[in-house]
Amino acid sequence: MLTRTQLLSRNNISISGNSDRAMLFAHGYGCDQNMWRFLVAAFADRFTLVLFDHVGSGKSDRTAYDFEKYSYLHGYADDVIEICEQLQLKNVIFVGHSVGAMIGLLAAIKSPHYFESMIMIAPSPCYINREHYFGGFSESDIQELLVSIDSNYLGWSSAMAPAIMGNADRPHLANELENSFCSNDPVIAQHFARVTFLSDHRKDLPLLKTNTLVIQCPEDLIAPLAVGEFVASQIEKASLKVLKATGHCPHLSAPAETIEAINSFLN
Amino acid sequence: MKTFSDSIYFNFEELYNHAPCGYITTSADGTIIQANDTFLNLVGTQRELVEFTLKLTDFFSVGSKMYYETIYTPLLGMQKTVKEINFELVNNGSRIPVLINTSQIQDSEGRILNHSTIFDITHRKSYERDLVETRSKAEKLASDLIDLNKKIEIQSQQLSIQNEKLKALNATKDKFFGIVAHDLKSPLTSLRSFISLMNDHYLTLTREEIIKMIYDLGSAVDSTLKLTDNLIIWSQSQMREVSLRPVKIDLTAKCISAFGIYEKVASAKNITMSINCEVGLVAIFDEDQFDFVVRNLINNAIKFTPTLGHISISAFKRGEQIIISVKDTGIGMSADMQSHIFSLGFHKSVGTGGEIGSGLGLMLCYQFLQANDARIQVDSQLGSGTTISLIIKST
Repeated sequence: MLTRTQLLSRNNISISGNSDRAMLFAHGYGCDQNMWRFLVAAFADRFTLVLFDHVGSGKSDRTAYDFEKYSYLHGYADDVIEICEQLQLKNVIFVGHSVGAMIGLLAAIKSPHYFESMIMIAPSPCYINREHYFGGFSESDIQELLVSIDSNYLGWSSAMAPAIMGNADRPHLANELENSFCSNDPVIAQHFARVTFLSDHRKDLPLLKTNTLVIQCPEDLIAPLAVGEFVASQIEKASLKVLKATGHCPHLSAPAETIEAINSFLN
Repeated sequence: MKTFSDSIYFNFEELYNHAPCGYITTSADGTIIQANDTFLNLVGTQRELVEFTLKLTDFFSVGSKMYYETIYTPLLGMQKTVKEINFELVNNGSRIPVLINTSQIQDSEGRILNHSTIFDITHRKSYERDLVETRSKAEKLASDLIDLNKKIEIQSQQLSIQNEKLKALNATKDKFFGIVAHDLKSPLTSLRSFISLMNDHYLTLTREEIIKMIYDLGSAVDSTLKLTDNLIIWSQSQMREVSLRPVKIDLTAKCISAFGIYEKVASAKNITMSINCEVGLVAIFDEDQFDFVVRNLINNAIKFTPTLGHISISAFKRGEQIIISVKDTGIGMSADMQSHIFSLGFHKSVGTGGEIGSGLGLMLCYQFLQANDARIQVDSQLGSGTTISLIIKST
């Protein structure tokens, strides 16, 4: 087992506040804990806030990325449990976005005693259309996403930029080209995308016994409204809140409305 | 008269609409509020179908839509500006790679607006693809080269191991030739001394003395003949001139015949011999080689057994195997000696009656047994006799 210090650096964990109730935020595919920037202030006075980056994302320790362990979302869920255990969190309100919400679901099924309630923003248990199920995508769509990821790392990311600029001895010039917030190792980004978008956890939904709020927006290209409805219907103690805001990231595009939805659920 | 600057330079609308890149302004939810002609041409549609109706993502391939939602939107939300993101537009089924730059602003009424430029990068993209393809080919070549290098390294290691083995073998052979040369020289020396003796003293030597000398000389010549026989067989086997002729042979009969030959030799040394063989033991074996092996084993037993000792030969069948054993009450061997007796260069052996041997016989036995798919087993202790067993597949 990792020491507290090792764990803090592995997942780039930041902790603030000292309430005995903790709010644990798990970001989704693509970026990092900075996603929660507009949301966290609203809860700072009532909760200990714990933010982290999944291994392989943001400022986590990328050398800890084990392709075998993270071939399933359970690998990430085990990290969440490890964080709860090591930081001795209790009565955790878990806030997860997109795949982060599914990771929380798996963690709460495995170790329910840590979790008081779950807030799932734009979750999807299965992105690919199956028989009698609309996930929004076909398998070839996922391949297209992988090409997009490649394209956006190809020319101007760490892999190629130094060669093109002819400045391998001055790598900071190349680094400036990358968008720091969403810059992930392209190989890890590919792997995480594959694991995320090919996952199917529909059968896990009924196993969750924790109070749950599903927050969903119209016109979400990643998790359509029907998916949110499906998630809420499969979890025993779940309610669905459909926001007015649109898109996949209401915590960024409409933080006030998202905060309000969370507050009314917590009260 | 209108000046050049009046007519063109300040015609911003003209510049906006026909700029060499697409311009669009979208609302916070992504709906296109305004687009220039270049963009409309790029996506192959008309202004009235787009403005206030469609979103930028409506012109995206699915992969681009996912990238837009998971990377671009959060990035824009965080940074307010995003540069050089590669998307794919779809125009009537054909795909156009573009780079999009976006700046987020708030208008005078506090509404969020996103201004984006869209550059067609079809040509750059195809160069990029070539680059990537070339790079992956180069990487493949590099990894092939590494594999090849590893193989060469392994082969060179194997070669140097073989080389070491060859050197060791060569050294053994040299040592062996030294022993053989010495063995060949001693009877010649005896012969020379005998001739000198006869020459100098032929008048004074007694009849008994001459008979004794002839006898000694005879046995020295016999053992030399045996040595040269073995040498011939060995050199033939080294040059692969010995062809294996496996035939069905009656092992029982062969053992009894060998027993008959050596019983007299043994009794001359005051050693008794017995035989106990199952009848009708048959196996496929090269006949000459079997004779060679059995005779060698019996001969060795006699050589290393002192006077009043006993040698027993047995042959019986156990399962699918025939086991032929030659057991003696001789001087025996240490474990160290046992581990060397079948290899070339085994130290010169001298029997209990002064018999001389080169160690060549046992080495040949071992080779012949291997060639005939049989095994040899040694059971011996220093001072308490030796049992050597042949294990042969029965037919």
